[in-house]
Amino acid sequence: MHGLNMVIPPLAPDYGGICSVLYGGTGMVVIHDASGCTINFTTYDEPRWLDHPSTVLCSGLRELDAVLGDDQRLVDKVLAAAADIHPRFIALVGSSVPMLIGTDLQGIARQIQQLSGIPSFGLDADGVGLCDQGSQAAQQALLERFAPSADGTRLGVGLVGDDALMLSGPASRRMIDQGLAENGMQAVCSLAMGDADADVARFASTQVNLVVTSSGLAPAEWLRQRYGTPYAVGLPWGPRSAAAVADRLRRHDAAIPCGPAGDVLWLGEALIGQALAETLRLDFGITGLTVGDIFSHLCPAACHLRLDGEQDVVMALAGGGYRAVIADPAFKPLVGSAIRFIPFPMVPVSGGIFGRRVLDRQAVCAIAEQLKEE
Amino acid sequence: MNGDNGSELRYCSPFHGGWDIARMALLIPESRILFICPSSCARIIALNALRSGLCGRLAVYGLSQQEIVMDDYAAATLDSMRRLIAIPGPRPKVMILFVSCIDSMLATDHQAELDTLSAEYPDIHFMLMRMNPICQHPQGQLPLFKLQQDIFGLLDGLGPADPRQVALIGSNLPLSPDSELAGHLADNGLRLTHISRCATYHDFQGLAKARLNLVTTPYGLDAAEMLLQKFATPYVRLSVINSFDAFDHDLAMICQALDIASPDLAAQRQLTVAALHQAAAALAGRPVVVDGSAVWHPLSLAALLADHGFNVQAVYVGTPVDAGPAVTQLAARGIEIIDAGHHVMPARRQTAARDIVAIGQLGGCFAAASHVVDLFCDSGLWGYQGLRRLAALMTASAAVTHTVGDIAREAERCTV
Repeated sequence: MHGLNMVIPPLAPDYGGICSVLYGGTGMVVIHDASGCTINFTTYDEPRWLDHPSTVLCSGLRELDAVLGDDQRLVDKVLAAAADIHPRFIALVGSSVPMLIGTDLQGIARQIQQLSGIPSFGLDADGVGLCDQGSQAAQQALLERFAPSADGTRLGVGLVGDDALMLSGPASRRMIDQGLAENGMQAVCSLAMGDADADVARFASTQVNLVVTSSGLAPAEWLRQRYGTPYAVGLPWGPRSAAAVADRLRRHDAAIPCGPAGDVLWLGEALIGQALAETLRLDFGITGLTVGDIFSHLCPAACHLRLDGEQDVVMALAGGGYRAVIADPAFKPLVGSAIRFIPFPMVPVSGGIFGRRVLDRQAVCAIAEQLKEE
Repeated sequence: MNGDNGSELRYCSPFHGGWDIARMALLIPESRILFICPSSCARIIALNALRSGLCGRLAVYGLSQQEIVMDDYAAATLDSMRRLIAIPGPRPKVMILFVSCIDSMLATDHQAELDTLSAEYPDIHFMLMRMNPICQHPQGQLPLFKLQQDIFGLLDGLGPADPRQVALIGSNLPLSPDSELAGHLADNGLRLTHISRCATYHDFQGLAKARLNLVTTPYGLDAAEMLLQKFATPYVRLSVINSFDAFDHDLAMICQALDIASPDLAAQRQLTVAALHQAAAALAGRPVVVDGSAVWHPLSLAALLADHGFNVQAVYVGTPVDAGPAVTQLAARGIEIIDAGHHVMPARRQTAARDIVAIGQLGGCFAAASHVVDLFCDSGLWGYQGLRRLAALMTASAAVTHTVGDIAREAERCTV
């Protein structure tokens, strides 16, 4: 979100994506900040916070510690808390000030591991990057830290890139399960919305992995290289698109399902947009969704627009000739009255203040109906 | 904000009533804010502004890592300020440049940019504010004290004093107009004013003419002291403690400062005792929890409610509480004081709904209460009338299931 934004709020940051991936586990996650970054996460970026407590804590970084580089204070605080909590792992997560002063979170984590005997790792974040980058980094860290040796048996589908933040809540998982079940498949583990280190172990024996959002692409590739597990990309959003995703899973087809661009613009995550395009095309006969990626462009495919901040969105809208825009309501003031605006609230954009649109069949039906009204 | 002096890891909760430092600053009428920081620092600010209908008054310039490391964003600051001033609509009277923790670490000085802008726009007041929780320490001035000082530092005091005006300092919300304080002042021809009631910057400047300032939260103390030095405006600090004697004392002090007769509060006290007993009877022994996000002084409220027949079980506080008479008193009544920010709280939080009445969202969430009275920082309630209103809210809350989740879903009914 570099540059001036007068209308759209800053998108969920990298540390939010990291914490979202680690939230489901029984580890202890420590955001190294004064408090503001942690409160960002708890207030707007964690859809599970109210209903499902998890140990995500704030280090309470203070000016003097930062100026003096007093990392021992952090070590002491973490060890004291760990002695009470007995976490299965400890993750130290960076923020803007640790980035600025060059805090060596990996080194501090090694020291904590030595002293506590608890597996510990550090994850750099700077509050400049976005949640998909953080999500990817956390998934990679879990794999590199906890992935076991290859297992002989091969069962089920592993989900990667399925973090609760980007999917606007854990309820979206039901749609994935339903779509896979209709095609005789079952998700057996989740890298980004599961029990963190415990779920990672199951990835040694998955038959195939499904990349749900762009943050899962690099981890899926890592799993392919480590275990030889193939992967496919997509979201089984409608009955026919679910069959198409299942077909790619069976064929081990890792291609990004790019469709033809057109006069409807999606502003959001790239692979969710491509999945929506595929579902609209296969299940509703609607073609021509242009996918605008407003996040970190982790998906290398050339079939979507890369939009960095408000100015890019304004320019895309001005020159695109779009008849409709599907986006978070925060974007609505940027969309002229001549263009139909179809609201799709996304937690990493508006943090739930416009509600949380669960990715389910009802949601895609509502979009299709509005597009057909045009 | 949750947290203490940084001596331990803290569990931060999201219950801040939708108020943040920028929303407080935007109480200055006809002001606009530019946040220049890593974009993440301003996410909560921008979303709170969006939720409060203030988004047209706030913009965020998200710094790149290179700009931060090279400390190179003066030109971006100037350009962004100019663009924010040029937004169609009434020309702003105050432009606030907000910076975050990293500026404290970089020791940046934005005076040159502010001077340039002041020369370009002589009719606009430019000022720098800081959102830097990293700088809080027990011996220093807390950010919210500084914020109030900055806001009221804008008052120029031009024009004659208004002998009929009394101003509230330090709170986000005005006092309820039907409080005995507002009523008594009105009976004596006096007007109670508050920054949120100022529609224009001109109205806001009128606050400098107050005959007396009433400090309703601790955050307003430095501002009131500054106004005393600057304009010789006296102030009275209202107790945040919930006790009948404290209310009587406060009103007596105010009346003395204004040279008006003190009201006879015996009837108020009687009515309030009756209202509290009636509410306690309606709750029929149902457990009650109180929290520090709902009211300024949860310990005294818990004690007062327990004294009037409520089954108070716990007080949730955002920061550790030192031992003292209030703590001892509550312990003697079997009321637990729970540090909601302690690192073991994720495991201690209740998740299965319980038939409890919670005053405040923090306790409501952590105790998994089925009945939540949604208050934040007293919500403008004060004195006898405030307690009677609270008793009514508790009774109403006990009659229906209304959880923190319900409140959150209601808050999500935000539309553009």
